[in-house]
Amino acid sequence: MTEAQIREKLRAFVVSTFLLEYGKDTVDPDEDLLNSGYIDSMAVMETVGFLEETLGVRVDDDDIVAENFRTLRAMTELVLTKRAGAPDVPERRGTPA
Amino acid sequence: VSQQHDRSAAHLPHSSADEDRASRVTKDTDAPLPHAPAIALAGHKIVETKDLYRLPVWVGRKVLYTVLPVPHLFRLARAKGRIVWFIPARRRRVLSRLERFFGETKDDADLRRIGQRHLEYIARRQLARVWPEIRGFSGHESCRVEGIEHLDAALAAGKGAILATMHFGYLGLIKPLLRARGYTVWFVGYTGTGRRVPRSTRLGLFVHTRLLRLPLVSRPELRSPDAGVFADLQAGINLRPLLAALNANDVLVVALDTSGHHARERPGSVRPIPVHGTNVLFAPGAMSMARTLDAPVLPTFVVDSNDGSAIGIRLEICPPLALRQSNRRREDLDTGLERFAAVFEAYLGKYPHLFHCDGAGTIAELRVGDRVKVKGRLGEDGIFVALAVKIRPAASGTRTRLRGAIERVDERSKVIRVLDRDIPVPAACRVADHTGKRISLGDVAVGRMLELTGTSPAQGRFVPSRIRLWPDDWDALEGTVQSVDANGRTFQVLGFTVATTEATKVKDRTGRVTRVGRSDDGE
Repeated sequence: MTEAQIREKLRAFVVSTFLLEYGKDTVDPDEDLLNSGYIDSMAVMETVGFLEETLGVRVDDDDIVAENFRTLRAMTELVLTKRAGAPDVPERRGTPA
Repeated sequence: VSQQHDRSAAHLPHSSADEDRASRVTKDTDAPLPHAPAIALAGHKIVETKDLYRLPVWVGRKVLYTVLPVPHLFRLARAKGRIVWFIPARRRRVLSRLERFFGETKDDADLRRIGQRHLEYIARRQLARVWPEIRGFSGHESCRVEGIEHLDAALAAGKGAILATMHFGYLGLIKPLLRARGYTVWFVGYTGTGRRVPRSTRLGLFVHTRLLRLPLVSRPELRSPDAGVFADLQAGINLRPLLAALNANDVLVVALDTSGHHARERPGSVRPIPVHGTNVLFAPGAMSMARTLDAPVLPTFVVDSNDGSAIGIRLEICPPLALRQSNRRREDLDTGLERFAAVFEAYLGKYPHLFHCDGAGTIAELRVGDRVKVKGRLGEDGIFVALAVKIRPAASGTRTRLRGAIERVDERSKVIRVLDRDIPVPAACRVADHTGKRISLGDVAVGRMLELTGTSPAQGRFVPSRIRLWPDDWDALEGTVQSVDANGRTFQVLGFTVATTEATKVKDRTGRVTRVGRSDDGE
């Protein structure tokens, strides 16, 4: 999966799960989602679940820090970093219910 | 214990990491308390003059803790509070703080009555903090627990329970009082230790901690994990251990008024909600967990009790809040927080003296020439984002300080780079480690936190006269305010533009009476 594909999957998840209620259907890759209040700590955990279940990366406790979830770009970089450092884990098709 | 996940929690991670984290928290409430974890004492003085009065005070305290029944200790504490009321400086300070918060809602006689009781409460709270460590929490059974049936009913559903509270009353007693009654309770907060190096000498630490085995609340880096205010689980962005605790049907105690760490990480996520007309900042994390896991949230407070009980302290657990569940997360959380704030407001009205008033102020109070201490973080854009600002009277001194990580050391030209500024270090400047031991500039590794104390002429460059290694990881500035933009919520100090946010805590020590959050309303 390319960086662009990962970012698109993340964008779709973040927009559909957290942003639509604010009437936002787009998100800038560098938009601060934490500071703006769109994503809180529970939303970060839901995102972690999405990364693990859908994108097939294992997110360690040490990875769950604000810097890795502040923006779409940071989340994408986290996935890329974790994929680069881990054996291939096939991602699931589609988004879990 | 039910391990079933809620439908809405489908995305939640529930891997072995959850259990790993949970298993790191001891489940044995009867386990002996770990005392005096190892700390680095290298560089500490062996003995100093202050030990001459510290040691007898500690011995006296040990005697009292050993022989006096706990109700008598609480009576002594109340008497101490009454005596403190007659110290003019303390009385003025507490009245000033109360006036800030209660302002027009209380007259002078009310404020004086509340102030007097507040000082008694402060002394009793100090004792309450160490009480769980006095003779095995002796006398705890005399504290009434009201509403325990609400907690039992909540736990019967198998989704754990969140006891929502505030920095109000005897917050630190919630955990030990419930643990003593057999509940598995975890206090959620900042678990960091070792933030400060103990100030005592080696002799002092030996006598206090090893010989007398006194309760260690006064030293955050040493106190027992069972001390009420000691956090078991880290508050923050990683909720895995908290979710694991709820999945295990345990009880979490969460103070919903925000911590500095929350504000530093996510200043935009805190919710200001008026309580008695003053904005109080709430963190939504606990409500968010409750919303996703369908866990009950029960407002809980430990308050003074006039029921004739020996100690006069009562734990009150309220019925679970009716939480809104819709597809609009933010509105659901705000509604939950507002409902909790309403309960808290009622408690505050009933027990105004139990308020942890901290001298809050606003950026609008700042004047050019005021002295400020600012704690926060220098951003990549060169703006210093303030987490906390302390305003002091202009005449409070001329000390100027910078704290930050050292970015570069040029030993040859004697220039260091801190907070994105090149700062020449005069030959006379003293460089020391955090214990005061002299070191050379070359010994300072890039990335270490430094505190620079010196002078800064009106338009001139900061000139340090003393540099020392600093154990904290905050950037900080201390100096005179050069300009203020109250509308833009920024000001300048030491040439840095300091930005404040809704999460910035402003403490005013000048005695000017103001209210939190009013500046934005134009009042």
